[in-house]
Amino acid sequence: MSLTHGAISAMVRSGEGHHATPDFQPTVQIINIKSVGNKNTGSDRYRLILSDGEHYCNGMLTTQLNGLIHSGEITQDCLVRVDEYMINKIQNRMLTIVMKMEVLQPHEGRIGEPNDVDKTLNMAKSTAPASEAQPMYNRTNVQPSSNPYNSNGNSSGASANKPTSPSNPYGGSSYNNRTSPSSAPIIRTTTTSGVPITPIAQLNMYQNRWTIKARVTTKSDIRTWSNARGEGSLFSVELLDASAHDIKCTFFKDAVDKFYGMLEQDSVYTFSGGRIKVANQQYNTCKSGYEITFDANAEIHLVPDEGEIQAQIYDFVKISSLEQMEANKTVDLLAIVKSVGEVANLISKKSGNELTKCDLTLVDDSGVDINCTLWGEKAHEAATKFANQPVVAFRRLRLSDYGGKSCSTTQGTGGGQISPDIPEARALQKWWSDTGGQSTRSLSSSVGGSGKLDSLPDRKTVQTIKMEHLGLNNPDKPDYLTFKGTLTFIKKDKDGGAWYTACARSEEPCKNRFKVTQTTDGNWFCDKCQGTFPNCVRRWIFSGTVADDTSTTWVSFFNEQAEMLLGGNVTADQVFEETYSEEADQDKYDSYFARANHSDWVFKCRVKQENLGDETRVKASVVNMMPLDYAQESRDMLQAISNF
Amino acid sequence: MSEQPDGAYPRINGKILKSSEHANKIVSLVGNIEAFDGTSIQLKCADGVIASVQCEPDAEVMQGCMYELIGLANDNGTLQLFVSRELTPDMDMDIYNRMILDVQLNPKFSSYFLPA
Repeated sequence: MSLTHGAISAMVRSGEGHHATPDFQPTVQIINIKSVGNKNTGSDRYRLILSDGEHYCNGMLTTQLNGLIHSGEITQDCLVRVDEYMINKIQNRMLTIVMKMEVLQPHEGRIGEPNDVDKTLNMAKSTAPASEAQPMYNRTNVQPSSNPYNSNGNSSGASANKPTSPSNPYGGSSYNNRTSPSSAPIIRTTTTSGVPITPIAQLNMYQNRWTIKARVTTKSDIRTWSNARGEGSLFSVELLDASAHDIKCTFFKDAVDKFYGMLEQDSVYTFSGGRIKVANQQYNTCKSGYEITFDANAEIHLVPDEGEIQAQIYDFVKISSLEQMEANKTVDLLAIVKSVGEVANLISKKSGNELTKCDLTLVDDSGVDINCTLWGEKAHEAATKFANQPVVAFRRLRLSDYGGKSCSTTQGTGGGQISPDIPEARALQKWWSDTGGQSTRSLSSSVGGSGKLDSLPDRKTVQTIKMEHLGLNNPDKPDYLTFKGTLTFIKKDKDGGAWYTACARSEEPCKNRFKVTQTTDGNWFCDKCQGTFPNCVRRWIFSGTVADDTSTTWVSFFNEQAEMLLGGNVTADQVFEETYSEEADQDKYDSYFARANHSDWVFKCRVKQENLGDETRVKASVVNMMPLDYAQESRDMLQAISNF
Repeated sequence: MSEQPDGAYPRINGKILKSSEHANKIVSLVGNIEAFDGTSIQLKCADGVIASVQCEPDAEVMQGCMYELIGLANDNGTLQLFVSRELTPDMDMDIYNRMILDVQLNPKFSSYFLPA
């Protein structure tokens, strides 16, 4: 077995980047091994010196191969075959990082008298223009005797079987054919100033000097933090380059001031001077396994957008598929912004911070719409940005179970891309102008409160309660449904009337809700606020049966809905006055309920599991109800019929 | 009268009446009374077409109100009134018309409108 002649100089001159070709797997000797790990952090790194008998070069062993050292397989002076390696330039010297190798045999003694290849070949000027950066083994070879690079039918002439200009290798599929599946294609290009650009896919922690050229696809708001170690501000961006890899970058402290205003979403810049670290997968949904941190020393330059970088990489799903998806997943949506809500401020329960939000209704050609909440800066811009129902692509929206199904923007969402120039967007635009989005079904129901209830397409039937096992899915979470039904019976004959006595205090904490009990001297005592009052407020509470053409169910009515049911604003206090306080007027009492019985409403109910002793029962209560608007119902029905 | 099943009468609008499609059959016409002079009614139907309805002087109709008029369709495109039913003024004529055209007359749903 002999060492591959000229291997070291070939490797070192093959230029910066990743190399792995089946026709160049040189046999070299490891003439030195040295541990250079950091004992404090426990990291284990090994420096190697590789030799081909004539030259030696400095190298490192990839940590993934550390096992070969620990097992004793790699020994001093052993012969190895290098299958995959990377060249990094560190302070004008080339470092060969061995990524994949096979130990062939141990050996006694150093073969030959190798010299330092760096000195011999003088690699100081390595920022050469692209043509020199091509791997050596493709050029006419001046070395005598067996040359591995000529053996495989590679042309010994000019680089015939490499694709054309190095400035656009992305289209060159022959690169991919020649590299082993595990490596990224050898992509190399330069900016107009001749600085070599590293593809994001090839960034790694060993390389400190790199320049990437990428588009800012998302830019977050500035956030400040304050903890025991200090405080500061940060913002993050996601960069996408021509290799279709994206990476998350964070700017800290001074870098925020320097670069926040400069960087604009969708513009292309070159970036260098950042530090690479392993990505925090919990918060990072980019393709790259790394993240970059930039401080004020970073160098960023705006470059013209030559169009080789996509605006954004998306993985769209249809809104209808969100119904089945679990909450907390992130999705990309391409949808029409059907409507934009008002900007609202609220205090976060978790952090106590004030948050700004704005709700949008998004709809796509799956015929389903969903609520989307924009947070922060994006909320403010929403009304103007999304006017006129544009097609918008949203990235990394987080799905939640709130209000049925809804989604909201995350760090990775960016502002949403209006009318992206992709075929799906055009198709969606056409669908919208053809159908006007009339027949959409909503995944996001209005939560509680009065106001619009679900219209016909979103309604269920009473039977749904049993069929979909509503209330049983999750003991803590109630299910909601809306259906049209008729009241068939009201259980009004409770001792003392179909109401309970509530605290007269209308502010916090009672809000007239909490139960009071009568004291011996005729006053009313409230457990909640510990107050005693001469009077109380009566609030309706009774149950009844509601039916539609599919089934019947018991529901409970609370005060607000009961008042509506009994004829508008019929308060319990009022009925009590008229029928109970002075003398019992059963007929009058009954007449209120008789009026309400057999009336039609659209009911919105909450269905929840309740434990009564040993038994677990599903109980439904009415949270909102509306009288039927027959004209609107008819219109909805006509629509549904025409879509049938 | 022809073999019209008992109690089964189609709902029509002005245009359908004038086309004499249901001549000599009992039909139902819904509309607003534009004019009533004792023996004839000008009825503005669901599709906006004014139809002519012959009636008795004691017909219980009032100008300006909405009615369902049931009677015999003549082959000259007019209606001979039998009975009238008053409807509330908030009846939406457009929806009614769409019901006639898109639903009742839709071949897809003809099976639903067959007499029992």
